[in-house]
Amino acid sequence: MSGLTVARQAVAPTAAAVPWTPLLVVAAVLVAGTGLTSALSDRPGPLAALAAGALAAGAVAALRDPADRFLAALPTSRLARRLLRLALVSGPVALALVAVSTLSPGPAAPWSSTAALTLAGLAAATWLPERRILLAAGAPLVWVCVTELLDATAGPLDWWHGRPWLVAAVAAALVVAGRHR
Amino acid sequence: MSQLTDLPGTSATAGIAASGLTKRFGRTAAVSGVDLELHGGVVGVLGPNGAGKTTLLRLLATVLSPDAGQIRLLGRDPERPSERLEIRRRLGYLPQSPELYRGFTAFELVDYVATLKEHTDRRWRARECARVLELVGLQDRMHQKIRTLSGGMQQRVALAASLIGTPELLVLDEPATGLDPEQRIELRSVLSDTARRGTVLLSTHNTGEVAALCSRVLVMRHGTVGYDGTPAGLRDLASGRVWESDSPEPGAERSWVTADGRYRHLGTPPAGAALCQPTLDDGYLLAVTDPRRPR
Repeated sequence: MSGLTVARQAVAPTAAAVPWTPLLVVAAVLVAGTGLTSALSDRPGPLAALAAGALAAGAVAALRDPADRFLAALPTSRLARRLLRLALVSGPVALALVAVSTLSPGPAAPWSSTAALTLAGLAAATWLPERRILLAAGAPLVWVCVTELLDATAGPLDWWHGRPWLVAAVAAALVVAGRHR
Repeated sequence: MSQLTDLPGTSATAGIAASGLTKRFGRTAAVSGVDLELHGGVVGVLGPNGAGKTTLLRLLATVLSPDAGQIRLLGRDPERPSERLEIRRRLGYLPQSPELYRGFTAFELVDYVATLKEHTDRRWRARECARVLELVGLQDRMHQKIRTLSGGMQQRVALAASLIGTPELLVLDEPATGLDPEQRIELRSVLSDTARRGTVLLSTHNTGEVAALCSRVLVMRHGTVGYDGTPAGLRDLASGRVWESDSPEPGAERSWVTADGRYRHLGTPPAGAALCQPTLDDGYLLAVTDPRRPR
């Protein structure tokens, strides 16, 4: 109960502390790129996959917290603060996904893949040092790009797309295992 | 080890107990086999850069877990999640040169910290934020954005946040950084007051701060505690081992030129040397002097 009250009261200041720029830039570029692509061509290309990776990367980048060291010894854990941030950025991510899916001539950007990639980024952020958070943010996008470049349609490399719930479950387990880090 | 279990966990006996405390980063032992038992008062941690002060403070603030050894803080084991949570509710921590949210006002930042410290009564929180900001002399600046405050003021905002809820254990890493002399004196008064109800552990490079404020001082060297005692005892380490002359002394362990152009030396004085009254700086320098290192 206390945790929920803390989370509710921390929403406004956490929203003020979130670095929104990377996510908003990514979302704007994706929406504009999708609109432009659909106007010029009716071939879907890798847009849906890139959108999932880029939005996941933007969401994880929002976890970058310059005051992390300052807040490190408080009863509200780093993981709790990060989950609150992810909850806050999930709104803009969802809007961007809807926009990209609406504009895209091909299949819609998969929600489950975006969620799995975001959780994978959170897992990387949990196990990497705080100052490496942008490396963790890049992980989902790199994973998607490598899959696209290698044209992998099966095997673990494609699991973010083919088995997103498995990826999400493994990532969630890694996050739970590292929750006291 | 028996002290660890003996340390009571009540607020009246707030304290720190550690045994064989070790923390490594790669091959480097930042803290190595430290034993400690602190019961209240202001305790200073001195030491050269890289001696392990910050790592020790992070261990004692529950921010890092030790690789070996045991800690009990306020009678609880920080390695157990439920006990760590209880410690953190009663702990204030100020890291070295903290980065703050520059777009927040001082009040907003302290209020955010109070919220994350699970103080959910908004009216109490507002009063408490005003109180701690007044304690650090920022009552007239509390609604100013942090980016518009000077470095010393930002340091005081961070200090105010660490004082939320009157913690029983306060761990401060170089809290006087960026403060002017008047602000340092005010800081001493705040910390002395806090120490009446608990334990204040602070790291500093300023021996004057230790002399004015601390009842006990630890001197760290190569990750170990090289000295643990009173500031007067630290000063007395240099008793009979400080002398001045008009020329360098190759046999001295340390030598430096004073403001009046004379040479001050530490070590074993030669016959007929003009011995001086030792200062805390002299004692500190002897405590951190590595006899193996050529001078």
